[in-house]
Amino acid sequence: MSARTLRQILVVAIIVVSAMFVAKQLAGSALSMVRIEPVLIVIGSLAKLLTLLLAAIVSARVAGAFGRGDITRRAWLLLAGGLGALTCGQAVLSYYQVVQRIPSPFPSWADVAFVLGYPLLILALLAFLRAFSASGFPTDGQSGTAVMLILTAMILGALVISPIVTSPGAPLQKTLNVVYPILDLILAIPAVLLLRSSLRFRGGMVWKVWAALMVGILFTAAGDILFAWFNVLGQTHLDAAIDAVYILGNGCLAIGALYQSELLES
Amino acid sequence: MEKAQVMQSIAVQITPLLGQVMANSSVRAQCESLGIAGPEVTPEQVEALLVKLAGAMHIFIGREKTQRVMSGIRASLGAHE
Repeated sequence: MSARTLRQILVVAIIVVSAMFVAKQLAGSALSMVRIEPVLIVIGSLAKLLTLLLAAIVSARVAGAFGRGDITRRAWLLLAGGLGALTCGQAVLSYYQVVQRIPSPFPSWADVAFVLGYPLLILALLAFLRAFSASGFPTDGQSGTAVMLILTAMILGALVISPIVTSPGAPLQKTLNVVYPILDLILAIPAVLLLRSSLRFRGGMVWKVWAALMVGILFTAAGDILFAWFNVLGQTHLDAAIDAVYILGNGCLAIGALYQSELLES
Repeated sequence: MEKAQVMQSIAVQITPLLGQVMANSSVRAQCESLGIAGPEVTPEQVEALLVKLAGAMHIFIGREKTQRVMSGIRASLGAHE
């Protein structure tokens, strides 16, 4: 199966699965009465797992298409490593949700993998930024934008984290609920810079790769921040919406990697 | 060879990859950096331009794909001579 065909199937699958979770969110408690919820939990868990796994594998294959010593190869390998770590984390969660049919605990061993994935993803995006800069294509205005993004991230971080820090809760859970948004906001900075750089390639295949990847990163980060926020508040009524955000995010990561694979194959 | 025609031929080939705006601006920018100013370009200048473009593009599309693209460009430029 070609990367293009796989990508087309994935786009449809992601839209369908995300729509199911949006519908679940809008339907509220009504769906639990018809016992659809357990099925949706399994579908959602597997969707997140399989898209992350696909993204990791395709990213690793893409890395192989670049020469040894190429900064881009290193960046794709780091991305594959980061996505691989997220896949391992999701696999642990899926074990609880799909095999044991119980809500996944928080914290769990999944969080070890998730936290380990972040430095790899951040380093990957920084390497991609260096590659963009080294390409010779125009990347002006990035320094100013970076400063603005850092300030924005700091303000958002303070707003998101302060209620978490002051809330009651087990120390490890609270620590993770603080760490995740911080790591996500750090990750979002190079992601926005890459998205901005890639806008110049609009209309071309390169744009599709980077738009999908960076939207994927940003959606996943948003899902994490929302999860941490609502987890601390003890609010579960938006879980379906957060799941939809994760599914879209993970799906976009896989789609971006497949676009790159398609670009190399064509 | 006429410079405008060469620039357009190259831009058309790389537009599906880079988008029209970036394709045109990168060809123009590389011409400027190589000092290709007049209305005509020599084959040596065209080759230097392609080498420069290849150096930028391989970051995104890898060396093998870049070589294929450059071969396609050389073939289309050869057909126009």
